[in-house]
This record gives sequence, C-alpha cells and structure tokens, in this order.
Amino acid sequence: MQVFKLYFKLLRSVATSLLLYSVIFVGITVMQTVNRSDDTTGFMQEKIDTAIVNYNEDSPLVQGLIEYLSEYCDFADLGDEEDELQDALFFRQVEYILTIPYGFGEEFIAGLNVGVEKKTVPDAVYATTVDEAINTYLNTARMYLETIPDITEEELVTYVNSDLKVQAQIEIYGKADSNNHSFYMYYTNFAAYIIMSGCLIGVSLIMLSFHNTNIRRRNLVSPITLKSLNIQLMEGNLIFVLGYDLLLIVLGYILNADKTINTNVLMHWLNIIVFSVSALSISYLAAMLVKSKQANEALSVILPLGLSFISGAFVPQFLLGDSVLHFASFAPVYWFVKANDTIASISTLNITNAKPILYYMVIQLGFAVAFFALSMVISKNRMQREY
Amino acid sequence: MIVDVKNLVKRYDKLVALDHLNLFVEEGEIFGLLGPNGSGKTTAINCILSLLKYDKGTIEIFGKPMSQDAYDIKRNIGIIMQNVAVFDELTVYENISYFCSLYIKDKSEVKRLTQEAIEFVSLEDFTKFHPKKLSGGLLRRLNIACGIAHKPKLIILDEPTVAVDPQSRNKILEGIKKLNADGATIIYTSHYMEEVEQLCSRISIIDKGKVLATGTKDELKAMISLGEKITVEAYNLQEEQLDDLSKLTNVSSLEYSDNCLEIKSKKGKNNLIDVLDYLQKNEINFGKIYTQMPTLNDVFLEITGKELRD
Ligand SMILES: Nc1ncnc2c1ncn2[C@@H]1O[C@H](COP(=O)(O)OP(=O)(O)OP(=O)(O)O)[C@@H](O)[C@H]1O
Ligand SMILES: [Mg+2]
Repeated sequence: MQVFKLYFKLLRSVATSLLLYSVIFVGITVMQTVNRSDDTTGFMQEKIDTAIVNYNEDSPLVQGLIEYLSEYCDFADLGDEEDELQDALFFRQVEYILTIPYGFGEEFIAGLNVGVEKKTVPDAVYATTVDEAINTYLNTARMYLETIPDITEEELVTYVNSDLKVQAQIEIYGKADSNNHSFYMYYTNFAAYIIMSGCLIGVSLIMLSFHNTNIRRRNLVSPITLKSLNIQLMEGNLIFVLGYDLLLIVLGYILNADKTINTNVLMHWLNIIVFSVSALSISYLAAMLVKSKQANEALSVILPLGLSFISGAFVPQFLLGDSVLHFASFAPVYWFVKANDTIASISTLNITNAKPILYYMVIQLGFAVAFFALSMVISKNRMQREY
Repeated sequence: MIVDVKNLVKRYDKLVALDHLNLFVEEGEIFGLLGPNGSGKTTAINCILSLLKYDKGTIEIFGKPMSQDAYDIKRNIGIIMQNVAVFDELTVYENISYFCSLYIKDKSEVKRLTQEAIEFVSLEDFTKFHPKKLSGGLLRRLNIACGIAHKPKLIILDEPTVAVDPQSRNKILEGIKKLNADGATIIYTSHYMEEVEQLCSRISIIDKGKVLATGTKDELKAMISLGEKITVEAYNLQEEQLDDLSKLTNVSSLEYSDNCLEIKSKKGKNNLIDVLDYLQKNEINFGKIYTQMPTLNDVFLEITGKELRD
C-alpha cells in the first residue's frame, strides 16, 4: 500500500500540467460546440452542399430517398473520382459526400443489412441533420418492410413518402440539436491527444522516478518485494488512467447538449478506456527508454501531438494521405480514431456492424500487450546486467 | 558476528573490482572501510546488500546468508548510499515517512519515527521543503534520515560526507556516534582518513578490491615501521650536518628546506631527544619543534607506496 499511496503523492507534482491540458481541452470543445449551436439555429433555411455518388440510380427506393433528402441537401454530381471528391470536400465545395452502393435498393428489400456511405468535413454543422434524415427514411422503410412481407419497392416508397410528409415538420424540430454523433466523434478523437499527453506526463514521470538507480536501490534494499512494488505501481497507473478517462467522459457528458446515452455513446466511452490502456503502455515503454525527466517532458509534448495529427485525431482520416495513414497505423491512436469514426457513422449499432469497431479495439489492446511485453524485456535485461 | 564476508570476488568484465575480499563486523562496532577512490568500497557494499551479483564468495548478515529475498535481514538494515536517493517530488517529511513506511507497518509508529529522524538530523525547519531547495549539506542529512528512520540494527553508510560543508559534516559524524551509542552497528566507508580515524573502532584498509590490513587505528599504526615525524625549525644547516643527522639511530628519512627540518623516524625511544642533542652540540639555532604520530595515511602509504588521496 505504501507505494500505491506514494503514487498519488508523486502525481500531485504534475497536477497543474494535467489540469492545464484538461482546461485547454474543455476550452476548445466549448468553442466548437458554441460555433455549432450558433449555426444550427438557422437550419431550416440552409441546405448542405452534398455530392452524390449514386451506383443504384434506377431503384425507386433510392430515388425516394434522394427526393426526401433534397429538403436538406443541395445535391451536386461530381462524378465518382475519389481524388476529385476528396478535393471538393477539402476546399469546401461540398460538405457531405453521399454514396449509394450498387444494388442497394434490391438488397434492402431483400432484408439485408445494407447502408449508404458518407463522408463529411469535421465541422459540418448540418451533417447530423442529414444523417438523421437518412436514418429516419431508411428506418421507416425497414418498419414497413417488416410489417408487410411481400411489399414491392414501389409500394414501399409510396408508403414511406406519405408517412414522412406528415412527420417531417415535427421530426425536424424535435431533433434539431441532435448532433450527438458528431459531438462524440470529435470529442473522443481529440481526447486521444489529451489522454496520451496525460499518460506521458503522469505515468512516465512516476515510472522514471522509480527507475532512477539510486531510488531503485533504496527500494530494493527495503523488505518490500519487487513483485509487490510492481503490482502497486501498476494499480496506481490503472487508477490514474481510469480516473482520467472518467473525467473526460463526464466532461464530455456535461459539455454535450444532448444527454441521451445510447449504445453509440457507450461504445465511445469503451473506446476511450481501451485506448487509455494502450496509452499507458506507451508511457511505460517511454519511461524505460527515456533517460531524464527533461527528455520525458519533451516527449510528452511531441509524441501525442505528432501521433494525434497523423492519425486523424484533429483532422479526419480521409483528408490525410494514404502514406501518412499507413505510417500512423503502426500506433494505436490511428485505430482509436478509426473506431470512433466508425461508431459515429453507424446510426443503430448491432452485432454485425459493431464487429469492425471491436476489431479496432482489439488492435489497440494488442499494441498495449506488445508495448508492455517490450518494457518487461528491457527491464529484465537491465536487471540482469546488475544482478 | 553481524556481517561476515568471505572471499568475495566481483568482476566488471575484465576489471576485478573485488579480489577475494574478506570482512567481518562485530555487534556494536563502528567499522570503517577506508580506501581511495575506485578501490571497491561501493561495489563491496552493493554486493553485501545483494544489489549486485558477485562471482564468488559468501555473505552472511546476522548469521544468515544474505540474498535478494532475505526480507527478514533487510528489515533490520538501514543504508545511506553514496548518491542521494530521494524523490524530488516529495517534501522532506514525505520522503522520510515513505522510506520508513517500507519497513514499519503501523501508521502512528511511522509518524513518530519520522518525527524522530527529522529531529535527529536537525531538519525541523525544513520539513515542508522539496529536496531541490535544500543545500548540499541538508540534502545529505535528509538522505541519512531516510536511511535510519526505521531504527535499523545495522546501518551502512557509503561516503555520507562527500561534498558536505564542515558544519554538516560534524553533525553527521556526531549523529553516527549517537546511533552507535543507541545500539546500532555501523559500517562506514570513506576515503577521508581523518573521519575514519575519529569515528571508527575498527578499520579495514582496502585498495584495488583487496583488504590490505585490518585492526583498530592503533593496531594499524603499530603494523608499520614508521614512528613519529619530527619537524624542527633549524637555521643554516650544512650538508655534512644533514648527513650526520640522517645517520642517527632510527632516522629513516630526512628533508630540509626553508629552514625547516623534517625527519621521519622509525619506531623507537628518545628519537626527538637524539635530534635535539645533536643540534645543541653543534650550536645550531632552532625555533619551533613539534612531533606527529603516524596517521592512517602513513599506514596506507607504507603498505601501498602511494598516498591515500591522489
Ligand atoms: N558498473 C560498473 N561497470 C564497470 N566498472 C565499474 C562499475 N562500477 C564500478 N566500477 C569500477 O569498479 C572499481 C570500484 O569502484 P567502486 O565504485 O566500488 O569504488 P569506490 O571505492 O566506491 O570509489 P569512490 O570512493 O569513488 O566511491 C572502479 O575501478 C570502478 O571504475
Ligand atoms: Mg563509492
């Protein structure tokens, strides 16, 4: 227990830095949220410039969907060249790219679990309105599909259209501030930076103190076992990291206007916790490799910033080059962001569409295991040289 | 016997840092390990404490073999390392309290012992200070307090006075005597012979990882042929007179410069009287006279042929 208690005493010395990071984080998030809500007040008038890539033009369902969406979107056909679409998004020619895959209508009617694909710029304030509209349309269609077994595509579209005409006005008002998805996506992505900084500042500093030869010797000559020392340190690390996660989760909940906690939100939270374990492992390894506290301070600024940037925590991944992303995929931040983006792109999570998300989480944990193992090997080697 | 080291050999690659080192420490002693820089003092201490792997030899503490997991032995040892080992992020009080709590379970007991240790090293006015704000001497005192707060039976100090001002140094030496008077056995390493001479009841002189001689300081001085050193302020001594002087019984060597005659004599009686007799008979004027008994440095010099301090 002594070491465990000591852990939090040592943490005090970096409390100011940690607090500062959290304040900056809150500041930036608040600024973003304020911007967003300012803009959403005029949502009835404004439509979002949307590029549509339609591979299923002759499907009545798709036609119905597009017609319905035209209340929210100004559609433009920019072809289907990936690069050109990317550029259009980058230069804000459009804020939303909607892709309807081949055979979408047919597969939808067949009851398969299909969806449309979307890409959007980070601060696209109306994007969520479009998302909601798509979900409303498809969910309504799905409902008819389930209740009327032999319904044709044309019939389905007629039902849905007449249904939604009635609902439209009410729906839009009701869900006006529902930017839940995108809020959590940007919030959690950005949190990658804060979590990593926090770990490198807190965990590495404390581990470095204990790795100091003189201190280590004094601990080693005392009657405390090495195992107990390491376990207590690990407990301290876990509590610290989970506490930090909890703080970020609570802050996110407070800052977000939408207080619904659905599966998506829970998945974001789970992802935060998973990521923080891999951030913890990076800090362990860093403390093994770094020689001094000064070097660690430098690292705690550079590494989180660099990794967050190339991994798409600040700018969306699809705006980054392939080679950058390829490089980034060798660090867990990339997979954390990918998981967040995927969670945010799904309206209703189920076992099938949650699979890739869980897969990304497993990769993050894989990194954690690898980094911990590496630290352990280095530590063993070092011990053996002395003993 | 509190500590018993037999035939300890420790190599760093090709360098033999400890070469069949033998030591023993009896209960209640202040045992001094005296040797120049690089002679292997710290290496010996680290091996004794199982902080370093050694190649050969046996180490027993409190009559039991010492090993990495001999926690019942470790519980009764206090160590003060050559390098200060404290947490920069903790205050003076917190540092002492933490290290004490590694040995003592009871909370209120830790509190009491921490307070006692603070008083012992006179750091009462600095309890809330962080180590970085302490002067070198105060920092050393904190380092000592961290090592002794739990009242160990055996205290090992590795050059605790390096780079310490005289005031702090005296406090430290007095403190060690007091710890010993309160019942602790002490192992003290140093390359300052004055300290060892002043403090230790028994001394081992080591060089190049080997014990060259062991004994009380008087026993050590008795081992060498050198008797007292005689210094006389004498005027205008001629070559032949110096020659005569050097032929006196028991004079082993002689130097003369700036009207100052320095004679190293072998052990024997009336050495000073013989010299003064000669000066008087030859009507040589002389002023101040003093004699000096051999020091541990002389012992070291005679055994190794070099000075203790480079
Ligand atoms: N880790 C190491 N690797 C290689 N050689 C070492 C190592 N530690 C010590 N030595 C060598 O072993 C010898 C004994 O060193 P040690 O530190 O024990 O001497 P010491 O008597 O404590 O000296 P000092 O008075 O300077 O503290 C020295 O020659 C030193 O260079
Ligand atoms: Mg030493």
